[in-house]
Amino acid sequence: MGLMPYHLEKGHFLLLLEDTLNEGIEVVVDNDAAITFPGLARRYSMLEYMRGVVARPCDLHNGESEVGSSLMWPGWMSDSDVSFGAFRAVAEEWFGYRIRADGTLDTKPHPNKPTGMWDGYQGNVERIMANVFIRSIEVSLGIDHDAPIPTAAPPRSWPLYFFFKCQQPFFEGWVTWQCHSINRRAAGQVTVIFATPGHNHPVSDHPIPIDNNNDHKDDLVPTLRNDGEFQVEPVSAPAADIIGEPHQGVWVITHRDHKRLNVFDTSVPSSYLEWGPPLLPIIAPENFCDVVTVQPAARSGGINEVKPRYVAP
Amino acid sequence: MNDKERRFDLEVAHTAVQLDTEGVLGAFLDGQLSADRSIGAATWRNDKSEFFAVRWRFAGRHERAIPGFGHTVIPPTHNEVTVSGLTLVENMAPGQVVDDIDKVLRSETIVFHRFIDWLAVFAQIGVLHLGRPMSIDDIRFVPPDRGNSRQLGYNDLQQG
Repeated sequence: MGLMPYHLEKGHFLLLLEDTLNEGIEVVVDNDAAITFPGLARRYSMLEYMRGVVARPCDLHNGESEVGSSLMWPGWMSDSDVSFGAFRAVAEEWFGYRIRADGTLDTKPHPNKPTGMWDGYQGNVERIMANVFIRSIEVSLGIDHDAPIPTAAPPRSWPLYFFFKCQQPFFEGWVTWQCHSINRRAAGQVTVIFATPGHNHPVSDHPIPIDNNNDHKDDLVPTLRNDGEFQVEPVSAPAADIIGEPHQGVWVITHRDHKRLNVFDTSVPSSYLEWGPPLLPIIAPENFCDVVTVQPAARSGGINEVKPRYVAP
Repeated sequence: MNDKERRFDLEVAHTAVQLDTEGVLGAFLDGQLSADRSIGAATWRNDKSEFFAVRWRFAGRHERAIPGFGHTVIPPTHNEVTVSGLTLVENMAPGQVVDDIDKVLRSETIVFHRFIDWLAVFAQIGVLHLGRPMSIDDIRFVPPDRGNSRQLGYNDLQQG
């Protein structure tokens, strides 16, 4: 699963998920008469499975059923980076479940603890994500919610893209879409953004790592790295990766560094009635005129230099 | 000075804190102040002042705009809000007579040192996300284990 995101996060897992659902879609993009591609079969499979996930009863006190979890979809991709470690991370850190010694899931929510690693938040992350998968696949294929899965060609086949952004108040999935042309089956796009709460790691005030010992890790926030695909002020946005496959990118444009203001002592003595609610601290740039564009490394939320490919389980 | 003249003492300090607290918090909260009279009986002094401690709690509903919390006005949320704090009232003229309390409080002889749990206020109004948005109905406030000396706070009182 990798490390917690710094900026808008893509990372290896979501790139593999995209390839799971998009693999081969270039055929439809290039040829409007083309129908099938490997990712289409997996979309059908995932859609059917996730509809079953959300159809399971959910108990207010006991949470989700222990069987039939979204984690059990047989089509989940698997490679050296996405294996049992990822399964454990999603189950424990995202959904807040416990994995028993026999491998079964204890899904009962703890009433007095945050869900998983999400600071100060409780929620049914699994159900949110399952609904996001359902909705995003339905939108990508142009089929109404809960409509039967097509037996022939779907009305359309748009690519699906996934991101997530941490340090939000709630866990949410945003399913957005854009049709580029109504005349072609694949001339559109679905972009999904998972908004997640933060976990117990700070978010860096600066997009460019401060790496005084040259280990490619920020000295304060190890999830922020300057290796691999990291660039400051990138120039080109290539359509293909270095081996010629269609590709994508993420750039972050922000101030070079930030600071916090208005953190002051509210107990300073004052006269009668001369006080009030304190100002909340605000975040401000260190230099108001200094804006940088950064291409984050894949391990801190960017895009792999070479697109990872779906690996069958 | 005759027998009817009153000097600045703990009772006057309680009145002062009530006026000072209700005058500010009452501008945006509809509620009332209750004071903990179990502390503050002793008078602390240094070479120029005497101090009175008043622990208080103001419970009310957020019904009017708050012109603070940053640079925007927070409109009424209608949330129940409890503010708790401790005010040290510093009297820099020990022994002064209090014939008109408003005049005394507005003189330069009285200073307030206010220690207020603003973080809890932020959370209750929703300015900061410190709560747990959830659909599970059995969430209770369980105080962290910090020994047996902890007294009940407003969270305990609200949630039983």
